[in-house]
Amino acid sequence: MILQLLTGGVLLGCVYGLVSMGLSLIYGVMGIVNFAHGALVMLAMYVSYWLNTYVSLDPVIGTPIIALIMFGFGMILYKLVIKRVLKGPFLARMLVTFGLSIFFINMAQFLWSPDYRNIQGAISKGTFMLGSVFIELPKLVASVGSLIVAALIYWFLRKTKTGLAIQAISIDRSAASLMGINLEKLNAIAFGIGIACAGAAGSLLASYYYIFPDVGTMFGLVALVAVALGGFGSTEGALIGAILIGIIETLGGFYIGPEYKYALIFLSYVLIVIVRPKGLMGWGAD
Amino acid sequence: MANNKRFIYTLLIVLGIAIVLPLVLKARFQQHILVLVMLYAVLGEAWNIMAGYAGMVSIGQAAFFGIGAYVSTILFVKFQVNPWIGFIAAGLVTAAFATVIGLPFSRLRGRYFAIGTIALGQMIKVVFENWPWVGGATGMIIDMKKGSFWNFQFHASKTGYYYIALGMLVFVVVYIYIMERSKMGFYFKAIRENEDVATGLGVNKTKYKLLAIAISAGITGMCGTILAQYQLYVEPAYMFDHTISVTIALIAVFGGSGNIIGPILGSVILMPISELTRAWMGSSGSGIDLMIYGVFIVLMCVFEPDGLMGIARKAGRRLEARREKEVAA
Repeated sequence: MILQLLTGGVLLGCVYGLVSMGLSLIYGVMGIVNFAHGALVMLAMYVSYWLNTYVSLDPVIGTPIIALIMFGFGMILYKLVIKRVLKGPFLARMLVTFGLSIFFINMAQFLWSPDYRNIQGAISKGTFMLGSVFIELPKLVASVGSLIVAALIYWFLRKTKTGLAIQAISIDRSAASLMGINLEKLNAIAFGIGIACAGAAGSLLASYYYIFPDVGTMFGLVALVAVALGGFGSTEGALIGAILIGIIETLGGFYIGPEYKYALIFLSYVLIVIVRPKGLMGWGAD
Repeated sequence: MANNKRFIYTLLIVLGIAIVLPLVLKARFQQHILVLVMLYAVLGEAWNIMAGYAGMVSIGQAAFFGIGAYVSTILFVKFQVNPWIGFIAAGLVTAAFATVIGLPFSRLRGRYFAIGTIALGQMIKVVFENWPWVGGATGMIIDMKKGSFWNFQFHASKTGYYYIALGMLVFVVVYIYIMERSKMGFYFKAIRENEDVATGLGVNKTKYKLLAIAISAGITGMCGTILAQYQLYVEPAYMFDHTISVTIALIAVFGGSGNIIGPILGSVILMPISELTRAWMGSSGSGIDLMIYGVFIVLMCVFEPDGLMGIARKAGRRLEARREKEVAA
């Protein structure tokens, strides 16, 4: 039983991990806590749903396309909004994405009604047994997909010139700028990649999760907790934090009761942050 | 000094208008808006103490609000205690709760604190949803009594709630006015600007952070009682709604945080907009009011992070400069 629960937790945690990595990347590079991350996961789920309905594109196969769309959307969002608050006071930097989140969620509710939708006839479906563990294929596909995207991002950040430049910015902005790194351009790219992560996660989730305007809120909050656990700015920390949360969620949901599972996640956040006010692997200023 | 006097006179005139207003706007819906404007002005001021002055940004005020609402309701429903005593108890219990929670929370900074308050709001809601003694997810209904000031219930006209909230607002504004000029107010600002330097200069950081949290929470809890008595029922989904936390923060930021007038201005402008759009668009427009809120937050953060008061201050400065130029010429 414990093995079954752990598997479930890790599978869930991988998807959380993808969402969290994007969040952490954005924070590391430009010091913005993207409260709209969950709402963007939701938007990606809707995009995936509409693509499935109108051009019958499977959400899993469509993941790269949706990630690309969300990358573009992220760049636009950066140019229109984020760029303008980067030099603003703390409160403005913190609340601006909050405003975006409220806007997107209620826009979805206004345009598409609060009804629950789900995608019919996705390619990945069914279940199978692996030893004594019972695995749902869509969840496995989603978490493997998440890990692939996460690996791609990791590779991009470590091995490409652009990626290294992005890392340089998150270590020391002014030094990076003095070395001839174009902050403006790379900020936009980093923000785009962060949102693309949310997009890919949303698309992978759309194959088995219900789609409704508020669906992203929990993902966003859980990702915030995961990133805070791992430490703002650390992408690996975010992934580890997210898998930890996936495990806490499934174990807690089973042993204590499903109604308490989110409360448990938040409780563990509060406990960990109190012991380590900058998260498990965090560094940097407030 | 003359400036100070002018400020106080202006406040008194506004207060006079606020007292007369319900006698002019008599329709039920208008009075509903008036009550909400007053209530959220107080809530915004309470947020202001904690976030605007002491720099601890909370997006979980609904936790305090809901606890306050439940305290007076539990006392009334289970123990037949008069809601006025419940009103005071709500303030005390919420402040005590906030102090206990604040002890670990005061270690957190900036965004870690803000996320912590979101987490707190969600956790408290789950606890109340799964607590059968207080009615679980369905909540509790407050029995109708004869409408009177003593019973904290008004049925024929909602103005009673309005005046209670107005009374609270006056009290809170006077309190903040004194606080701003006291040692405590300066300590709050010092902590907001730079915690480490403030500590280095001998400010007891934990003590003053806890004070700010407790005062803010206590006032917020008392507002919870007012809304509980106004609605005559409490339920977790409504009293601990995340939207309440967001609205409170937005009102204060929109009006301008860190000064007395900001939250009042924010409430006076935003609450009618939200209620009217909701009423005009009906159920088909569900979400439109919050959509507008979202746009407002983004615009405010992008163009005028100091809120409406920032705009007013800039305009005032420009006027002053022009006048000086004229005098010189």
